Amino acid sequence: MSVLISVKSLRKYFPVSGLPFAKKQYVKAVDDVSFDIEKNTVFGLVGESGSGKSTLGMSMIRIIKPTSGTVLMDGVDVSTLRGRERAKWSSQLSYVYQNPVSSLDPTWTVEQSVSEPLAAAHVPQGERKDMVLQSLASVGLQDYFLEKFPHELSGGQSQRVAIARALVRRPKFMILDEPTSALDVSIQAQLLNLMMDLQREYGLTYFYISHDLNVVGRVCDRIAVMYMGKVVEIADAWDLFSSPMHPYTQALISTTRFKSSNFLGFRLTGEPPSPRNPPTGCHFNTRCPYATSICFQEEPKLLVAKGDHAVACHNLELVAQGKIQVPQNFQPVSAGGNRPQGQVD
Amino acid sequence: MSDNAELLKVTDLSLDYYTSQGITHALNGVDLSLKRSQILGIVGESGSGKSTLAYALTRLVPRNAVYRSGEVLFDGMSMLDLSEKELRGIRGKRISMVFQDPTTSLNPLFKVKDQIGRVLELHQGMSRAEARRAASGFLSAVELPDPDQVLDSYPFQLSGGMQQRAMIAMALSTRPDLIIADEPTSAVDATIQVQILELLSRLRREHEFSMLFITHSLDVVSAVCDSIMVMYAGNVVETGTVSEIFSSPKHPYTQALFSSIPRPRKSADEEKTLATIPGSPPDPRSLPSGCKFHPRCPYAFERCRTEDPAFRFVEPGHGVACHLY
Amino acid sequence: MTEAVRTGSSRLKVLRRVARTIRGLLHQKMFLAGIIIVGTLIIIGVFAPWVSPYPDQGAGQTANTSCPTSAAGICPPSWQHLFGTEQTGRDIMSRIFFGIRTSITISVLVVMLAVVIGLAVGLTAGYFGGLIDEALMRVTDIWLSFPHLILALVIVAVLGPGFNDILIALGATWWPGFARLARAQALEIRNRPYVIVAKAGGVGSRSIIGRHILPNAISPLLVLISVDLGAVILAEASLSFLGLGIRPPTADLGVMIAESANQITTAWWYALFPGLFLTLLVIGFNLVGDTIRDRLDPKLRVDLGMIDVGKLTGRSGRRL
Repeated sequence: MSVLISVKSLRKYFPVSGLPFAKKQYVKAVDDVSFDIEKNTVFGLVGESGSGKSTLGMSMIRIIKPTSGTVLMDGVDVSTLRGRERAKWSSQLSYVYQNPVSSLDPTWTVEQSVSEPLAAAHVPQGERKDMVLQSLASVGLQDYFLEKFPHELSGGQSQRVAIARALVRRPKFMILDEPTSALDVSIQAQLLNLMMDLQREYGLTYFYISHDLNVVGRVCDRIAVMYMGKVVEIADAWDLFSSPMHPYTQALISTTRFKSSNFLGFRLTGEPPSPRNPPTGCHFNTRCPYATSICFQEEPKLLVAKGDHAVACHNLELVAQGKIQVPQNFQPVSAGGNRPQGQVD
Repeated sequence: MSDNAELLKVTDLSLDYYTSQGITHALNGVDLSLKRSQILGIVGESGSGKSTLAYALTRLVPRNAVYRSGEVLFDGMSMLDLSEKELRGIRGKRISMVFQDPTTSLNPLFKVKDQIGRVLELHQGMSRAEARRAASGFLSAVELPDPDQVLDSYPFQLSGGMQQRAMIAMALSTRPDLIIADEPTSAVDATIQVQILELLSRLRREHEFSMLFITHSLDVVSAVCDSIMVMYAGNVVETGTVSEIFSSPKHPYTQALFSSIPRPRKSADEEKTLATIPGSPPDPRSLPSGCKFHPRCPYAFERCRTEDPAFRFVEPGHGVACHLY
Repeated sequence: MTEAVRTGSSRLKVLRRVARTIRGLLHQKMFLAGIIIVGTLIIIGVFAPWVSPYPDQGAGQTANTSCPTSAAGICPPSWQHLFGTEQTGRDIMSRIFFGIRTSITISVLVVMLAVVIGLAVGLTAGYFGGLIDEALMRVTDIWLSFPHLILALVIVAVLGPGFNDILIALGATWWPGFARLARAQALEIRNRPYVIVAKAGGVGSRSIIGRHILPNAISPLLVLISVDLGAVILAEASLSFLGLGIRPPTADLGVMIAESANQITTAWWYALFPGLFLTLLVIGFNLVGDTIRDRLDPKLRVDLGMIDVGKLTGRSGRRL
């Protein structure tokens, strides 16, 4: 299996304007994030509001310029590309936004919206209409949708148009930022099936950003969990759900238990801290039931716990030193990277 | 009034909106019965009429709304016949509302103490100092740390979860008989949502109010409601206790709703595909004939096209509106 | 409009129809009035040479003998000259028609010029931000800080009166308003998802500004345009009134008002009719502008197309 996207130490800091002579403050929306995405997979990013997940998505395809770090696509560092190379790169990826209605220009017809990426890629005029029709057909919209305007479409239809637009240039990589949050449950199910069919049929690679762990758990192959700008856990989807290691992940997953009793889950206390003033040490220490003294001093690194499962938590390190009890299946950590080339020592 | 008496009884309620593009039939013959200390969840998608129902109960409807038929009895009083003045005495005092987005329901220009305090001064006739003390008490009841600081803050200085708790405190402060909550946790993160739902359960046990909980999420319903009412295109299609409906849903729409909800996979081999309901919810201006769900129903037959099914109780406490039963 | 659900009593149907017509009427009255006024005047202006009884700017034979009260050509309204004549014997009505033509022509040209410049400056500043925005906005602010009339006066004084110079003068004073508005629009629109998606897809700035930002920025500009049309007419008339604009023998409403100023008591018709038509013109444009604004606003609101049934029955959420 080959890696399509490789994110290394990505950072995006937003300066906070304060008094002229005060020390420069930053909101660290994305703070040293690294992971790999393999070809032909669905990679999920879960986080709550303020976690920085949308910022991460936009930084990856340079809608927002990252403060530092690199993103490699097929081994090529995107920021070094210029001109025609750059254009070719941008035709290989696309972005589907959360709110379908506002992601379409209300003054443009469906045909114009869907063919816009083709115009940007200088595809000859004559070929465009066919490609648009094909794209619309693949999302289940018939020919007569060409002349419609966004306000004539339902939420589900608008999102299909947005997906058709994202697909029309046959990209390799698609970032889907909460594509179904604004839709009804029954429509969401249709759209999810559609997106998975398209992924299989065209060999696409998805980066699926969501706060809804149920959806992510269903459609994703591998999941990263984000909290306050950092990736706190990353694992294959079913592995994450069957043995979550980071306390935050555990809390999140217990909110997804779906049954008719009154079980409300592992309850976190308190609120997430303000992103401008994150606590020293592990950002999760204000709400973590297992926090120990080291959690207030040092930020934990993202380290491999077992196989393809990595966590950023001091308590797991302490286990390796025999100081705290944790789940079995745990192996000693190796520093650096979340995906070992060979065996874990 | 005995404890088992009905606090709220709605019979055959129908509501239309008149627009220049036609008449929207928002509610069609809705029946509802709510006892004291009961939490009823109203579930539906867009166009189901669930939010309309919530506002229709206290006549908080726009000027182009017309009650085509029906009765709304709150503690024996007919809500549709009261004067505006009488209504104002009930709204906010005996019936409180909690809305979805706290950022738009809390006035950004006033501090929290002015908003919650004013409610108390208005409806309970308290002095400013008394109101502040009472407000502080309610804020700690909703588990807000440092209530005094919250009182002195503006809404934008609080997080979404804290704002929502403040809204709940405001709703509680008049010791209402009924709280109508319209998607109160949809704008809030999952981990905070859990806290708020548990809070509401606890508060209900302590203060003994009834609640109408409007939501699109079945997870939320299972967490906090006693019984559930499923709505589709302005009709009630199924009602029952939460355990009953979750274990054996009878209406095809309810069944389809349950099976189309995404659940995390257990292994790499499990299918990603979800069961779906074909089509989409109908336009309230041109509803299908007969049973409104028939164009999307896998079991539809001839009668479903022509006749709107009546709502019947097929088992004690479990009612459906479907020709299959 | 078909109804799939059983309607109630016939009372319902009557109510519905009444409600709809009332709403329709209310809306159209003002708009109709404005459109009729403006439309008529525009037609008069455009076809002035054919509509005026005395096509040559009002010059032509007059029956001097029919107004003995003055030695000069000023005569009160008569059957040959419905609005009377002015001192050189020219027909006032014709001159008014030609004056309308001038006013509208200048106004339209000025506003077009102002819109083009304003959009170019404003959209560019708003979209690119940063230094470009700062630079362009300083320039705009400087222009904006001069009172319209003073600036126009200065320009005309330097360039001399005449058709083209008035165009330049008025155009120069009006474009900053459009620039400001266009910039505000651009600032908001550039953050909208469809623009961001386009940028991410590699669409160039020029294309984005022209095809995304511009069409979405238009509606508030339309309101400003229709209101400004009236305002420019007034400004032009003022300039001419002061002697800095159009000069006789070219017909112009402002000039006529100026000439009639000191003869109001004796030749009331000379002051009345030009003034009347000028007022009508401005009011007409304003009415159209107002109704355009009202029509656009409700479109943005969620409760589009609601009929105020409450107004009919006296209460909200009333039963039938």
